[in-house]
Amino acid sequence: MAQSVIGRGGIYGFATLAFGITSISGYISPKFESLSLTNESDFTEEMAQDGTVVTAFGNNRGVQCRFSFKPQGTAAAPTVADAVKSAGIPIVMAGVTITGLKIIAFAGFTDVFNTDAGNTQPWIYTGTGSLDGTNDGLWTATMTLKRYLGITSVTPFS
Amino acid sequence: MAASNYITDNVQKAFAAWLQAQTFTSIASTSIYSGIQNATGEADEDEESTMVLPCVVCLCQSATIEMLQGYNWRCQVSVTVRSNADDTTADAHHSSAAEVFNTLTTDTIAADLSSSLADFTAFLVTPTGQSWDIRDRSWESIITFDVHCCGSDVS
Repeated sequence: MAQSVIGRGGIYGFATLAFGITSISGYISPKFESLSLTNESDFTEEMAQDGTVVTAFGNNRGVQCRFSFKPQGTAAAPTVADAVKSAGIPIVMAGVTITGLKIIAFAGFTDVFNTDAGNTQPWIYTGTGSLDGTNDGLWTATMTLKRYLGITSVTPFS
Repeated sequence: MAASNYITDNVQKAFAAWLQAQTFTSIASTSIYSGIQNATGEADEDEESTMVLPCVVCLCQSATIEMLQGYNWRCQVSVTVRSNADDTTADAHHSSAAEVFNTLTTDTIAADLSSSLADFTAFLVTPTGQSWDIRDRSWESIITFDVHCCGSDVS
């Protein structure tokens, strides 16, 4: 008799995701809504005279992640002032640490999201954040970060 | 319970089991129900319900498949707090309803539901709305959730 399939594990939500941005005084991590992680790479094919691809070159250019969030504080910091702090966007090249996401091997990282002992590379703010306010509802924002295997520290210039 | 893809009953039973394990000021654990009561006609057919007020009713009657061939489900759940409007003030009812609502709107509710019922895993529980009204001479406060879950133990 065939065996019934009754559920499988999946990855759901990211309630514990938190940003750390030391370059913003008093920064409070916001309430995240979505993320999109991509592998940034160059991939080049070299063809022989008959058009057959005979060589391929790959160059890992790190990873990029776009986060969408709502400026809201945490359960421990729920005030409007905390929400304002969570709306902060740093200057380009600022370092960002991430905690609270699943440990996922991706594009050469053993833990692509989180900043930990085995993955000390900082996330780098790319200068493409946005803050969108509305007259009749909660504000929203986005922040795009990049991370490279070979860059272990950042120093933003203001 | 045995592992099952008949998920709607699992979900309403998990909510009821979790709430029955809690202590509420004015609602007895024996007055926390899952599903539709008196559907078998065991009580007098003229009686509308066998539930003892004040009570909580956990109801899940619909689910949609979330992961084809994986058999995880997204279930629509309502939890209704009812009090007799003839002898319960509005403040007393709303206070009771708040206790129940606050017990369900925590950051551990998915794990709490999972541990309340065998062969059931709630991955994510998201509140979707709430309302209140007076119906059939009862105060009635309703909170609704979407529950992403499956009918087996998955860790």
